[in-house]
Amino acid sequence: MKVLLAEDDKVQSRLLERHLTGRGLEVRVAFDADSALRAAEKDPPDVILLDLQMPGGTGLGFLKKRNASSRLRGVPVIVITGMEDQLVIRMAEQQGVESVFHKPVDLMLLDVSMESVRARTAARPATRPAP
Amino acid sequence: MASQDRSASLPLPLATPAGPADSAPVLDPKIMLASVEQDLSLLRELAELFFAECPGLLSQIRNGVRESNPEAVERNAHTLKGALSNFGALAACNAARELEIRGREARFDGAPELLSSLEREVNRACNALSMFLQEASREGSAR
Repeated sequence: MKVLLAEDDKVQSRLLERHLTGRGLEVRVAFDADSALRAAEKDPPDVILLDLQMPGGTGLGFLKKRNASSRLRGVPVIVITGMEDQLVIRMAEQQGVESVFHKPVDLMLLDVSMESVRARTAARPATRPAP
Repeated sequence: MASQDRSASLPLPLATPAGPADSAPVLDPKIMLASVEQDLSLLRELAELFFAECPGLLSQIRNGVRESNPEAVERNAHTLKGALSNFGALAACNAARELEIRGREARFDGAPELLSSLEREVNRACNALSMFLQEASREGSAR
């Protein structure tokens, strides 16, 4: 399963990258929202782990662009955030996210969420919408 | 998927009070070791990343406070808070959080004092993290 990890905090991103690759997942890392969107458009992942607050555009902006993109609309997004603003988190949830994790991320719960995505990915046809 | 628990053999000396002004611990080894699933080599790698990133983030916050730039203060304090949270550096996390809120609300009254407090707590956290890793290395090589 291909994972795009969009996280500007290098400590957090390395931690998650190491954990997920250890689970046999293929992980790409983007350190800002713009490059995350470009990477996702170029090669749509099976799931996106998204920090809500990054340089180069907010996570909410990323979610809106994902929803507007025929290539990315169906890609599940798991939010990882250090934000305490419940309104922003609710707005993210309204954009359609798989789950929301607060930092520091509980890796066992993240595994459960990833496993749920993996099961759905395995069950669906391998085709994606044309660009 | 449960991780192997090696914490019983690791040193846990750092859950000490930060001082009278802040009762949050400098580092919480339980949080820190849980973050890395008890993997000390990963903890060392993350600590090196943190030591490399931290001066730049503090510098951006300092500039943001000096120039009354709320976005710079909020964004960089937020990133620093996230990095600190991986090590259970709760006192420094709290100080970063205070500045993040000031940035979000674009309020700069008392910000220099909060910045001083953040720098002090980050220094303490870095020193405590270094000591923890040195102690862990000594424990490892003595075994």
